[in-house]
Amino acid sequence: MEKSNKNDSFLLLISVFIIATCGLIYELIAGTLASYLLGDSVTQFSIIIGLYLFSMGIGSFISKYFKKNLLVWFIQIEILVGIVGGVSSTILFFAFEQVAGFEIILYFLIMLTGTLVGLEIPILMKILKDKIEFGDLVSKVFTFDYIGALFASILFPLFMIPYMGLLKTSYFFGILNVVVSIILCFRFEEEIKYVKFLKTQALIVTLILLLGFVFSNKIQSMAETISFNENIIFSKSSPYQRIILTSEKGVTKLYLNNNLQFSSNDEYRYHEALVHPGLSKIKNPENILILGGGDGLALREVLKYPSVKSIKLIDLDNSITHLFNTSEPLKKLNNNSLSSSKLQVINTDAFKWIKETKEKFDFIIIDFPDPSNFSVGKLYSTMFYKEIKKVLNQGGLFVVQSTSPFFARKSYWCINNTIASLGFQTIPYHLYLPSFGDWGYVLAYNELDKENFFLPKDLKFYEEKQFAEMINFPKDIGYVQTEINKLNNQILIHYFEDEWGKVQ
Amino acid sequence: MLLAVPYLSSCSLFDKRQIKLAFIGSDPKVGHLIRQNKFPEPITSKKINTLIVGSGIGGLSAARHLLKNNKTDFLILELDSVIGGNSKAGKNNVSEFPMGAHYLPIPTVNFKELIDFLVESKIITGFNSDGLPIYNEYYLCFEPQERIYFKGIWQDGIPPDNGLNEIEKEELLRFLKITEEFKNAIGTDNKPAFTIPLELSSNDEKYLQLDKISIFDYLKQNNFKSNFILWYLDYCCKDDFGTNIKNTSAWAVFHYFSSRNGKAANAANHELLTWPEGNNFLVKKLSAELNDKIKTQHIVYKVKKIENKTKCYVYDLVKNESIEYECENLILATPQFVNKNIFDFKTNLNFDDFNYYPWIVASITINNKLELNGSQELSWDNVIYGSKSLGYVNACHQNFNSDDKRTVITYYYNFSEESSKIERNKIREKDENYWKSFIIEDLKNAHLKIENLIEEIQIVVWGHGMISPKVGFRSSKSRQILENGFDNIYFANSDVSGISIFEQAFYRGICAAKSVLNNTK
Repeated sequence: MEKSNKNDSFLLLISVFIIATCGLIYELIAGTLASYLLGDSVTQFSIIIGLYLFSMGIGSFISKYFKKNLLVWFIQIEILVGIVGGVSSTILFFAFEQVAGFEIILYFLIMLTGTLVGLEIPILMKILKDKIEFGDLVSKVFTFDYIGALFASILFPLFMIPYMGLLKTSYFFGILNVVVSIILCFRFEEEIKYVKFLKTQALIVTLILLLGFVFSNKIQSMAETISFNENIIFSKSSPYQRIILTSEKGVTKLYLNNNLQFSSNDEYRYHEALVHPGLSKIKNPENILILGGGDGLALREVLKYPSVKSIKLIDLDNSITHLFNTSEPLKKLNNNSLSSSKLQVINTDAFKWIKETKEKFDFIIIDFPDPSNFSVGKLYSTMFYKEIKKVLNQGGLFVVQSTSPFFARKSYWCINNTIASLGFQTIPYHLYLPSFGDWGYVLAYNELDKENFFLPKDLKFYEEKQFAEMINFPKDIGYVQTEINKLNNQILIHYFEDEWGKVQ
Repeated sequence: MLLAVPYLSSCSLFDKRQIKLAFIGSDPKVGHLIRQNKFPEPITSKKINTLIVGSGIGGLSAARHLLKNNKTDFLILELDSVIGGNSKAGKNNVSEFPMGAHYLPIPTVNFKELIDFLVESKIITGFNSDGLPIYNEYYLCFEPQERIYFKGIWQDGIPPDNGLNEIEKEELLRFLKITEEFKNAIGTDNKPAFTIPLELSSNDEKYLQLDKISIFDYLKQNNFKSNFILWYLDYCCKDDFGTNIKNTSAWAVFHYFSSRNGKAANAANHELLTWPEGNNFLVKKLSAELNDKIKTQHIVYKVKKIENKTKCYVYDLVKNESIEYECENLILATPQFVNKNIFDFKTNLNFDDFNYYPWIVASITINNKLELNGSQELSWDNVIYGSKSLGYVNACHQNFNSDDKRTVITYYYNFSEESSKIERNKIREKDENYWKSFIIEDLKNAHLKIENLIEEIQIVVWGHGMISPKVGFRSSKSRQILENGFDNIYFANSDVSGISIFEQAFYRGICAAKSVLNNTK
């Protein structure tokens, strides 16, 4: 009797350990998921931890109403924790895309899990109080509880997330929870009522969780949500696009509608190549126009020219310009360029603005997203470049980010040919970007001084001799004839769809 | 009772968002005054060389032509408070939008008067080395131009590329092949089989016999049976002629498909010109120099012939008094359903030859245009297969307003299941809420949640819409009388030609003005 009692206590204490591990894992999953999906990890983690602990308190409080059949209740709660903890991340992944009140569902599930987990330890202690002396009981239960917590917090980031991912991890620990209940069922078969009912229940739940575990990759891709491997530090849906900022190992990346816009470890190449080849060919440039480029990174390069007096930046989405003017790591990245006194930011449709403006500019940087839909396609049309012609000073230049000549050769040359069709001279050039591959630009002008003027000293990538290499196009990405992109044919977006469609 | 108070207030809190509703456009009561004929006796009498009645495209085109030929002694009288006829436009804080006519296909280069007008209006900006007009690309309809909701998804182009069965495809191709052949066909009189202006088309019996049957009968006789082609041509007839497939002359349908042979330096021949305000843009251009020549809110209620002069009795709605105008020439740019009530003498005209079915044109302000995309981006023209409506046109299509989530779509519905009189009775005295549900029920077929997207609906009820070319219209005696005019009275409405398109109204205006000029010489 003595011996079996000791064994029973040990078994129950092992359950404490497993329960504690599972409990903390659910909390970590919820916190991670919330910061993945909603961004701003500090806020999300704080709220999740707070809510979770508070709900555990609720659980402890209501545990006093459990007086009879404690073991049955304990096993029942284990099964419930297993199913709720196991499937909640799946529910959240789906709910994020479909449901408006995502936060409500998130917090509800957190509180449900927390309350159930909060019930576990007090009930267990009540069961054990007849088997172990009180002082010993408290010390043992809490020792196992805290060891379990430590175990979970080390296991989760180092092993579970890298090797299993969020969904598999939740299913795995859900199963563990239920396994505890199954073992207890068998061990205390004779002591508990409704044992058959509990066994069947546990079996069904295990089966569901196993299925989830096996098919978790399919579920993840079905949920169609962010398959980012990186830490999301900001995410927001503006009226125009979904903005996601990630940070991993010191590298910041911006995604708009899940398309990578820049990576902080090589964006300097892209932006130096966008700005300097053109701007260094103008004698004392004063008035600059930037269309798109609300991240302030092209602007950072422009501000390296002391002769520049005024800059206008037109970007549709004020969420972008605001983000890059307020977030500390991003301000560091753009060198606080968006606070420059020379700058005026206007958040409006670039086509509408340029049609109406009476101003003229020495240098125009056109840094729009790739022409993947009709509304962006307009900004690569003959009529748009006609408007550019009107606002370009005599002797001025403009540069256009023109997608990849490697992945979208026809699209690239279509942009070049469209600009040339309006009588501009063009200089197509390209370079290699580690994050994107081969990337193309088109520089255009009416007339050009042959010499180069001022070029900033502190550049990381660009120097004059680079340009000769950049204008050289190997055979596989060389010139092709294309149609001209017009508002009434939007041929460019058809080229673009064809070409990038094959890549993705 | 006390308990009910918070309940009620919470009800209103969660009540559905109110959709703003309004009738816009001309007041039907004003037009109906003519029929009641209770006007005060004229207190003044004025003399004028030429009086033009109606300020639609026909009237404005006639006036413009007179002015171009240095004839200035004329006046345009319009019963409405704004000019434009079927090419009127409305406006709200999102966009302008059409109330009726909303596009002009690229015209044939032979239509010199029209090309000249487009040059003068800077719609054509120059000519290339082959002499082809270069159009202002802001006015050429942007891509994507049209889409159809067919078998549960939006598809590019009307008719759709996918989802038709073999028979439907075969019949569609066979029909389009006939229209292609007619495009280049020349009659025995050396005139093109189908051209614009319609009056210059061939009188070869081979083509004219198509006017003796409806397009419905033509299809039956030529073994076209599939539902799709019947729906498609019924849709075309309603859209372009304001009546159904059984009422429309087959000749008119082939004219629609085969007369458009425009050429341009920078557009394909099927392309078209459009503006947010629709053809009201052209109204503004036509009337650019006519400001002091137009009197609105003037109803011509009686036309009398006295010796070789014409007397017009005009009621000034603002001053509430009548005036008598004695004129040498009278151009009636008004439709025949108006004219039949103002002639004070017998004519040989059979007014039953002229049919005008009622329409609803509703401009709907949408608070999130992206929600209308579905599987295809919102196009200029958006048609729902199987619906009895004609779909909707995106009024903001030619705007650059990606910074505005909102848009205005203009919804068209033509009532022509039964006779025009019965149809007019059906739509009479329906209120705004009736039309709101009517429109939403239809659009729901393609946009399930559209009701939640609507901010405002501005409804135009046209008791008499465009002229419909019924079987035999080409050989109608009444129409020929109108073409020639009589006793210094000339007709300039597009119903003289029998079809309601900008080009015809423009042409009839010039013809009427030319007659006046000939008379004066």
